[in-house]
Amino acid sequence: MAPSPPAAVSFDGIAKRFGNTIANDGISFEVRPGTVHVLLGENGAGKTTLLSILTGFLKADAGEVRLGGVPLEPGSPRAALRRGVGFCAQHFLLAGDLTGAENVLLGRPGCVGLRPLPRERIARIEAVAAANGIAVPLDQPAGRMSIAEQERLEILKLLERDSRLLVLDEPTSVLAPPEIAPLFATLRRLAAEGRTVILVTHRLAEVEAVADRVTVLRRGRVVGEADPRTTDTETLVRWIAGEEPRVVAPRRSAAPGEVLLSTRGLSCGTGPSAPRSIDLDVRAGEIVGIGGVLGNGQHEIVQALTGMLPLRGGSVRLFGIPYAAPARVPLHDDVAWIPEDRRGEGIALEMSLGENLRIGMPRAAADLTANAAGGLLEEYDVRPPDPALRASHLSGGNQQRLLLAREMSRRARLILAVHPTRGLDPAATAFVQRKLLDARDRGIGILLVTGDLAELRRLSDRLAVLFRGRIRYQADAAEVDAEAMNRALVGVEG
Amino acid sequence: MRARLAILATPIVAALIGIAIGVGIAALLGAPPGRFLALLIGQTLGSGYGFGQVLFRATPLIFTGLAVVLPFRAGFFNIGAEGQMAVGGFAMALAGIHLHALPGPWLWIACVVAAALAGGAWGAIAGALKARTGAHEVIVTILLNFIAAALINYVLNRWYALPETVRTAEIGAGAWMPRASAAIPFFRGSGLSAAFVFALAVAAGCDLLLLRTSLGFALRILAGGPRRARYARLSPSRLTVVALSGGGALAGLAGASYILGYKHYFEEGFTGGAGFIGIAVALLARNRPAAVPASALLFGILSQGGLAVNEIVPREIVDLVVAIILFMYIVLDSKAREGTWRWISS
Repeated sequence: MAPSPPAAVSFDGIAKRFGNTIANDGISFEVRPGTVHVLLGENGAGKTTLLSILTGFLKADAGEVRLGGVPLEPGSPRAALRRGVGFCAQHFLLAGDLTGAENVLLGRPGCVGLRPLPRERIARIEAVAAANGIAVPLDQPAGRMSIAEQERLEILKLLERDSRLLVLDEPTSVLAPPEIAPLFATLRRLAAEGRTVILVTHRLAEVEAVADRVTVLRRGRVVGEADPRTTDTETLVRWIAGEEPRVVAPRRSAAPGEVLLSTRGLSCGTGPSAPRSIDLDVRAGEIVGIGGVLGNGQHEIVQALTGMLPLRGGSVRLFGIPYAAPARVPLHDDVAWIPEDRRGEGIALEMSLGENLRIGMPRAAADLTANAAGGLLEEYDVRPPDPALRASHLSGGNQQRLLLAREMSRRARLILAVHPTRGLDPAATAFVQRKLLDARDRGIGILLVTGDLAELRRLSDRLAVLFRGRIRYQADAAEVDAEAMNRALVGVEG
Repeated sequence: MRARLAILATPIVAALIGIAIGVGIAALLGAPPGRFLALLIGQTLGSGYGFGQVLFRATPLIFTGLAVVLPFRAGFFNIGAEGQMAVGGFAMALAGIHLHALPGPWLWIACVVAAALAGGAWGAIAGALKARTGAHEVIVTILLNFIAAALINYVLNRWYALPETVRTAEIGAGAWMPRASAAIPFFRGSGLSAAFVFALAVAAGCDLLLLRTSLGFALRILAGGPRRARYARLSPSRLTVVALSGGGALAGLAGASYILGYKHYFEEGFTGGAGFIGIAVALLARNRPAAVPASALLFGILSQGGLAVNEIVPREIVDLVVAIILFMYIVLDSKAREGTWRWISS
């Protein structure tokens, strides 16, 4: 019998702890070469820590990683890169001032020194991008790209490097459905070429679509491994959550009240995807969803409504009062805002959880929150629920819960929820969605911006789809024509 | 927990390494290590006069350290403490001269307020430029140091300098802060005054301000950038001016403390680089106001110790020690944080 080839990656008893938190508790499993291997687990299960050890950003306390049977030098990103490990992080590692092409070539041999970037290298990047159907404005600074473009740029970086092992941490969480299928096709093709892909996701539907093998982590341990084609979703969910999943409450028919927010002919920003002539009304007790592929103007609309970006045309009324120069006044205290960029806006990583619960709160409410901080953290299942802990010690999903704990507990009449469930596991997503529906049922108006079509349809009472800065489709939830909506998503007329 | 201890221990370890290397270099120059250390430590911590001088030298450094810490906690790097200290000291001297008829406590208050206002106004220029035009505060505060020196030089020589000098007349004696040796003979001969106690009180006040008040909270939110401040319903431009003028006011108090407690008149160049050493003081204090006095004390020991070892080796060796301590601190601190700053798990 011929010996089987060594595993592309084998984790052998990986353990890592941070203070009192055990992130990885003896993780062992193998990834076969030429496969797409999905890593599942709820927020804080230890997935990102494990990947950080694989990519050399962290050093394991115990255990060993082997690539093709040969031990990997621990704690050295350089060694991992040399061994062909390509990493696409959940929070992008791009140099904001450098152009797309410069980001791809950053640190590559032949691109260090005084000469300008060789033209043939840029041509090669363009070829790789075209071959994989990845559209990125390569001559634009990464910092000015939309989040979706940044994500595509990260993936392009790996492809250009010709990495043998591609490690992607939640690549689909910021992508719209039409963008996910091509990505998966790319990953499948790369695996067929003999490369190996490790993928973290929270979306179970994606596991079936792309994975050859799935490993489920829970509380730092491997709790299950399976072939997704022969395993049903319920089993996976049970492994992930350790219990039966909570289901989103059925939607109640909304009885909308007064108009809280209304825009007429709103235009702002520059560029082909800047919002133009946007008419929106959000009434008390309803959820108005804005969907669309990211980068089609959602970001700018929220910026304009929150006073971060001046209007170029049109008008905004908030609680019936004209919002004349939104770029000059602070956001109304009665508006809760779950921002798109939680690290840049919503959460102060260097502050404690208790302090984070007070950011942007009116004085009296802030004092109340201070007393109830522990309870609030437990209610929103922030782990660990310790008000004195620094926010930087939380995992990404827990940071999102912290943000929600604050904004959802604000006595708001209007909630701006921008990608409220991005990066959350299924149980946490269900929790947040239920909170939003509860708020709606209490008479709060909600403007929901999401890239997740299922979420858009599940939560919205009315929805609008943006393409290139304009509303291309809108309908009441009961009357959505799925085909027309999908056409609007990709900008096909009719 | 162990990581946290390591972070707290880094300034001490850095100081020990710096002094050890200083001893080594002194030995190369022919000074026996025992004698070098005996001078360095004996003449700073070992006598009443020496210890008094250490505290005296630390006093303005506490203020200039705070003048760097406060804006830093709001996300700004104040390199202008030197100029702000000079402006504050000069304005205070003018107040002390013109208002010398005021009764003692009132004159003292007038002097302190004048110093804080003038230093604060000097800092506010950088703040306003930053808020209005985005001009980088590092460049602006550096340039303002030169402008302050030139402006003071002009006004001083035109109207206030005593003949053949670059100093003013003495300020009203009512504003002088009592010398420590008057109450505690132990400190006899040293320049230590009640200004040191004032400095400690201001440091405690800054700590409370930053960590316990809503203004301090707002400043710390601004440290994450103007977008985060706007998200928190704050006005980034107003807070920018507050942060940098607050730093300027603290630097102004450094000038006040030195003149009220020791010199009693303004003299060109009296700041002696205290504004720049404040940056190092703030760094070693890890930008915690409560830690600034301890950090300033270390620099006080080294500056007084430099004079002591001058007997056997060039006193510049102590400047070398200061530099090594800062280097070691920066290196060790990032090491201590490794693995804690990347505290991520999926």
